[in-house]
Amino acid sequence: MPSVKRLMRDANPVPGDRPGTEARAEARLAELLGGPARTAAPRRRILVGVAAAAVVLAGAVTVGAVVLRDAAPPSSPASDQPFYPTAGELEGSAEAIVRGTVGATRASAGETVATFAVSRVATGTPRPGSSIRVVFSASGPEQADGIRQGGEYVLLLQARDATSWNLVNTTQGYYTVDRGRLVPTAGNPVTLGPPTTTALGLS
Amino acid sequence: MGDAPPEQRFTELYRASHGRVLRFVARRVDDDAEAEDLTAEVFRIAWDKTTGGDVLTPAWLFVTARHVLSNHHRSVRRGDSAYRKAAVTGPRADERTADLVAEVLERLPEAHRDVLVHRYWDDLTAGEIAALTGLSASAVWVRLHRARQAFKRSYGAEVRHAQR
Repeated sequence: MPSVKRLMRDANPVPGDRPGTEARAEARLAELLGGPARTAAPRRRILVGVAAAAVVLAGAVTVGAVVLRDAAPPSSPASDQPFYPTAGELEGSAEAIVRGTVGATRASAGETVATFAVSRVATGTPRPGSSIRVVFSASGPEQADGIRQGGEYVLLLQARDATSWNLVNTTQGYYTVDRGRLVPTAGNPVTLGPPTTTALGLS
Repeated sequence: MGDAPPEQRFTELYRASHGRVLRFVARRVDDDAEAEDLTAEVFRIAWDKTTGGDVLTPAWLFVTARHVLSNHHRSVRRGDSAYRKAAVTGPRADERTADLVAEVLERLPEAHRDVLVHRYWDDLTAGEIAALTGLSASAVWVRLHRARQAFKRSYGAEVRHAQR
């Protein structure tokens, strides 16, 4: 079965804007701000005009203005995120749970690629003292926007390929380490279990 | 952005959000012209608020859009939660799949249906859905998780039924 996200998005009745929307939106903005006297032609009048012209030109089968131009901005694949309501499920979803510091970061095709210096490992193949490459979404409605260069974090990771890792999701895939304590993101109610936090040297 | 002049703040918000708000509205009315007019009303209210000193967010726009839609639906005696039928108007979908999705959505509890539509059609963030529903962001994630599970069960049953 395709994912729920895929099914829903494929059935979206209004996936993008109609032709001319952007120009009319700009004209209406100018009207609101009292800017240049570009009058937004009423939408109904435009549709009638287009329909009439098409009837004259071609008999007009396709005028109904259902041709879509700009699709909605694509979301990151990570935005169809699983949510893990318990520590057991969240930790079980991770192939590696590590503590460390974010080093260099760079943007690549809508994603952020970060070098992460591992200091402690609760589970998984990374070794303390090693550096791993972590890739996470930098676009779409959900982003791991709390991760900063130089910050200390606990990351819950899934292998992306042979050389890099992904967060399990953008709200539960990382915890900030603040003075020896774990701080989850605002959307994450889950506290990691004591065996994990102990292995990571945290309270 | 909060320190920027009102006109600049509003212009940035307008350009960043107009398309999303328009599509949000268009999914809930039957007519494109109506959708553009209602969206214009949302931003007229937003401009009034901005000139009054308020600093608005995209979430505020969606909450206002819902109020504007609610007034509109009252005036034409339609239900608030009516969505366009994907099977009728969705040009990209496989028709049978779109029919099934529409049927499954129709049968889900309203809370599940709304969170799925907000997330996957309206492309709203958890924070924006929270503003619309009155839930916390974490509760939105929990509800979305449960709604996906319910959708999967119902969709699977529909597919099995269709294959008999």
